[in-house]
Amino acid sequence: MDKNHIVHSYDAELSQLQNMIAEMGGLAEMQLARAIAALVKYDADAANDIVEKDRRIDALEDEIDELAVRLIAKRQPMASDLRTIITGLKVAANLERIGDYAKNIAKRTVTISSATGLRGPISTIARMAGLVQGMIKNVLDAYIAHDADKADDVRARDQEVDQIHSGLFRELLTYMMEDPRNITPCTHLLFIAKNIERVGDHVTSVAEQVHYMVHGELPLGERPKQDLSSFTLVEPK
Amino acid sequence: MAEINVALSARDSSAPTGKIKLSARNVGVFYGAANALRDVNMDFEEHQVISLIGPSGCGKSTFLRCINRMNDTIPGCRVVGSINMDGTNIYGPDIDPVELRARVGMVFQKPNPFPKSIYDNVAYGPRIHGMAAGKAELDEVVEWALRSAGLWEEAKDRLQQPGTGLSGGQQQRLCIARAIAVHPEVILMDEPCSALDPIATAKIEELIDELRRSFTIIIVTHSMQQAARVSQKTAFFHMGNLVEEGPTDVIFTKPHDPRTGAYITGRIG
Repeated sequence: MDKNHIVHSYDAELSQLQNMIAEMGGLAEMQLARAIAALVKYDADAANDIVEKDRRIDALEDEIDELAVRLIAKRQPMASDLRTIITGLKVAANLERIGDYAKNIAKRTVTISSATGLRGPISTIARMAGLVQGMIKNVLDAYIAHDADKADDVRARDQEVDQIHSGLFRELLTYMMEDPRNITPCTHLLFIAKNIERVGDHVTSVAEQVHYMVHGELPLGERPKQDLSSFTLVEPK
Repeated sequence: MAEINVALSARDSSAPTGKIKLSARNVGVFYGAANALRDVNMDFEEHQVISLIGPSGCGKSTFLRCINRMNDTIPGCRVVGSINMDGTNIYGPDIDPVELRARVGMVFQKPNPFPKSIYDNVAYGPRIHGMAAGKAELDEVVEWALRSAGLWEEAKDRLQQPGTGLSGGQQQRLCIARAIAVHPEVILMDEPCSALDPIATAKIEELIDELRRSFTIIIVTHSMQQAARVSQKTAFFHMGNLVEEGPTDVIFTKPHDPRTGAYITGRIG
């Protein structure tokens, strides 16, 4: 809706909510990017800093919750305004989880920072994370612009992430069979890959919320899923 | 589980029957040459509360006043189209507007009790319509109406005192008692809470929900929150047109027309 409210302070509060979501999303996106960069470089110091910075994301979620509750109490929002505020609450919860996954990647990076010889799977993880970062950026743009079509595109792209995750799962199992010394780092890499896959799911959920915010209903149909890791078996040679 | 079933069946008993009580077709209103309302088509289900909302001058009160032919009393006012109640056009040649107004009661914005006792306020309608055979029967009707309007406990010891001595909220409930004393089928309410404080408003809203079991209620309100709280169906009027009508749940979360959305979110006045 392009027209402004008669009460200008209402518009100001709604854009404040949107700005906070944008800030939180930007931080979550950056945390994921930095976590992957630290993993690729085995940089324990950078990883520790990422763990520390997650607090800011958590604090932002609390602030967004407070603002949303205040808006509901004061303005008694209806229709598109109500949907915008409820969506803000849900999106903030998803972004907070994304921040947690980035933090967990960083923690595992500290644990495995001495591991070598797993360049292959790590670069696959980085590629997968790059895709997910692009999805975060696009879904945030879609949220700010109230662009449901763009959000729907993001939702459809999650299957690429799923596909990479399934392949990576198989690859890591193979590394573990080849050399038992790989088991510890590979297990952590499995969790890291799973974390990124889960981030993709949260981004998808945000995309669905954006669709709801714009149209008042969730997107129709099951979203495409390609994560086959739950069914993957690799037999010893 | 048994309790849940009981609760559900209790709710079902007051659920709308789906029967159409009133049906407006191509209703328009002219004040002289000015066209205040255009081509309204709308159905009203029995035992529902229907809210009419919209900015001042949108035609919602004009439409409400068509339903009991109150516009007939305004010089220069002309109503076109038809409104059927139980299948009979209330603008038909055989319809006596005075009798119609006993079937379609009305409650106004400002409580307007007669300068008479509480008892006589409620007894007035049944008396002029000859609906009570004697004093005992009239007493019964008055008690029933005051009970139904949630005023009996507060008024039973002061029935002979003037109605104007009651508080604003009590006066409005007295006016509701007066309206229902003649056993109408439909009650029209024109901003019934706009002169009341929040507590008195809540009592009226609770009463509206109770009265729905026995009557069909059409309410004009400037409070969107009130429309959302009390009604099952909401209609939005703008500049003399019925823009959109639908289930209240849908109108306030996902209105179809951009004008409805703009109005209920506070973007147009």
